[in-house]
Amino acid sequence: MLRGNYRILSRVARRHASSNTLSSKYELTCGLEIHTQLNTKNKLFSMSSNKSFESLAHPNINASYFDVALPGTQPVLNYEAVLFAAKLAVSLHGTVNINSQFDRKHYFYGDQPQGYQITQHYHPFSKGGYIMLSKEFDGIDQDLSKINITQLQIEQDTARSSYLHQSLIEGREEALIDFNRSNVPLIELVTEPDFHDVKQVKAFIKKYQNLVRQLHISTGDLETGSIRVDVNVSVNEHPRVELKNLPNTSSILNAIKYEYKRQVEVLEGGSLGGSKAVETRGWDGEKTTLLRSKESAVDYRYMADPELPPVTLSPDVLVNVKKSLTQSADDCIRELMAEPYNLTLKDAKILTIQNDFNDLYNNEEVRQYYLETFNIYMLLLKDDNKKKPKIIVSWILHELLGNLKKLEIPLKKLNENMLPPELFAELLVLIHKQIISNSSAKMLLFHILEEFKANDCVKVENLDFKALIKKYDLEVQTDVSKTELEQNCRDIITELNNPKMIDDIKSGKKKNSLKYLVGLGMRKYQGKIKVQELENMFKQILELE
Amino acid sequence: MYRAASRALFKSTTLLRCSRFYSSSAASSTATRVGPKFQSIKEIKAYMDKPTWSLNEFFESSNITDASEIPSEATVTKLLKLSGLPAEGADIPAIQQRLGQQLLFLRRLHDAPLDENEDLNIRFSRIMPRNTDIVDYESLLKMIEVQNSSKFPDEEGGKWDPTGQAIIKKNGFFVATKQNTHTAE
Repeated sequence: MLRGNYRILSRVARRHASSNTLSSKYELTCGLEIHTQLNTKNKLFSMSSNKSFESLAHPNINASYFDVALPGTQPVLNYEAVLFAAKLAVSLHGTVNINSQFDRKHYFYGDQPQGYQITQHYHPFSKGGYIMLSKEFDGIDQDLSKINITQLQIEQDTARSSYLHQSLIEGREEALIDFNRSNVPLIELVTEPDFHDVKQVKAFIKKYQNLVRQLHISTGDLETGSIRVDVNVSVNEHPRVELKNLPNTSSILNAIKYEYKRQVEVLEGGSLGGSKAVETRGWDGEKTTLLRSKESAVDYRYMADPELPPVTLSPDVLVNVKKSLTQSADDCIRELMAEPYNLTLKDAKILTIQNDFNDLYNNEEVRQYYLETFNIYMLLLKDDNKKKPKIIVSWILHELLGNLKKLEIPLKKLNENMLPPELFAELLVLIHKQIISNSSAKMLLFHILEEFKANDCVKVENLDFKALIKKYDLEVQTDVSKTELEQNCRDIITELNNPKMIDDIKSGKKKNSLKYLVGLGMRKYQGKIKVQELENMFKQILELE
Repeated sequence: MYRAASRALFKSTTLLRCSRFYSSSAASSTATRVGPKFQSIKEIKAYMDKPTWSLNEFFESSNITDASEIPSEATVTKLLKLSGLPAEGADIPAIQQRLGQQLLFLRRLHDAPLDENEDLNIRFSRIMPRNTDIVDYESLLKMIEVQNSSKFPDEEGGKWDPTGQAIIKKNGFFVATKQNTHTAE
């Protein structure tokens, strides 16, 4: 019910927000604060498991003495979080502080019984760095836009609180506290106020999500709270407003648009009254609402944590982390779009950026499979000038992955136990040489995958496509009699009984309908005829040449 | 600074351990090492009789003489709120006095003379000052490997019931209310 209401409110807000465009008279300025949960094996200052989502059904199951702040317990830093932070900082071109330190940020709330959060206030993990956005890859309006990073700091997450609706009604305000999330490592990233339109914000968040996924340091999901974004918004001389509680990208964008309009109204109405008060506002799905004004701002009384030593890294950590990083997503896309691959931007992005979330494959595995198949295909056909490498990406992304999803076969298992890239490249070569037609190859591929799945994906030895084509009698006939072919094509046109379509093909109005006739022909020949032969015959009969 | 404070503590409390605290070597400005064991009660007495300052004397000399040293009522109320402590029913004037005296004491501590090679660098303001080992890439990976494979029993999922001793709990959750947490507004 709550979700239903939220959706309605979101729709209303979208309509409201989309009616607003940014005015050149009023400049929007935004900065972001992004909290990212790291997917380290264990928590930040204890070795209890970092599985806050998996254990949602079992509250407080992964909570050590330290996580629940039992007196006398002390923190021990998990260095995996340091490694992850180093990967992110280096990827963002930041300057890593090889002497960072932890501080206590004091506040009292049920989700933080220590009375303070351990963070890095005075000596954060890294400073500086940037993410470059472009019109070409990120869809922003400007050719290039550099978003500078202020700093990255490592800190601990709080426990998860949920409020019982009934207790709120009865005025008891009981919060249920689950410490599975307490002490999960976070990285807080703060950007400079370099955003001047919502497209840049959207592109930055997407690019950042892709980055943390590519680095394997976070799941990068906004919806589950793995990434939480606060936005600082200011229009012209209006004091900065911090927007919090933004659960997904559309909330973030709609809240910024709403806040822009609200601040413009304040400025136009002259009701600012010289106030420089910094506010914190929330988003209720429809409008931003005041959470905290400057008068009630919290004094966190930061102090160096006396129980944690400084983190002193040797410069070789950064050198080796840099070496361990893979190519940046933009460089990877650029490479795939260039010779010899010549992929479209869409296909290159699919192979580079993790968009399709499932347990069967990820973009890196698919890209590796594509690259290996490509290399072998090109080698096998090195003397063939008519080779069509574009079919490789098409067959992998559409046929192969589609079948794997349908049959629930992991790509890794397929690669290891049945169809490594060298065998898949062989199948593509057989298609190219018209030994098997496209449609028969699709059927054959699905059939062998179905059998593989039925046998629990156990290893298949010596898969031989040529033998299978013979076994199932799928070989394209090369000795089709011309008379018989002509008769069959004429029969197809007669049986179709659609003079309008034929006239449209003849007049050139609907050239693509010829492909429909060819398809009917392929069906009649059960895929065992060359497409080109059928097409030529139809063209001859319809006097298209 | 550290040595001075620890000496004062040493003198004003019972004998904690029969070893001497030495400040760091010249190469290390922050490490502390423990000196050789005392061999006899005579040596201990001689050590204790060395002229130094006493914590009590230091504290007593921190009596407030200037009214401006006393924090205001508003400051005390704010600090109580920040600390999650109830202001209602609290003896505010008494807290003002105590806090003022403690602050003066801290200021005097800050002014205490430092031994050679000691400083007030906030980076090392911890219970036991120390130099940490520099972590190189190899040792970082090794530490991660070791840490990931060693857990204390309370760190094993489901090995203890965190809500076992909680007065209010519900379906495995702790329950926080305004009454039991003094939650800040």
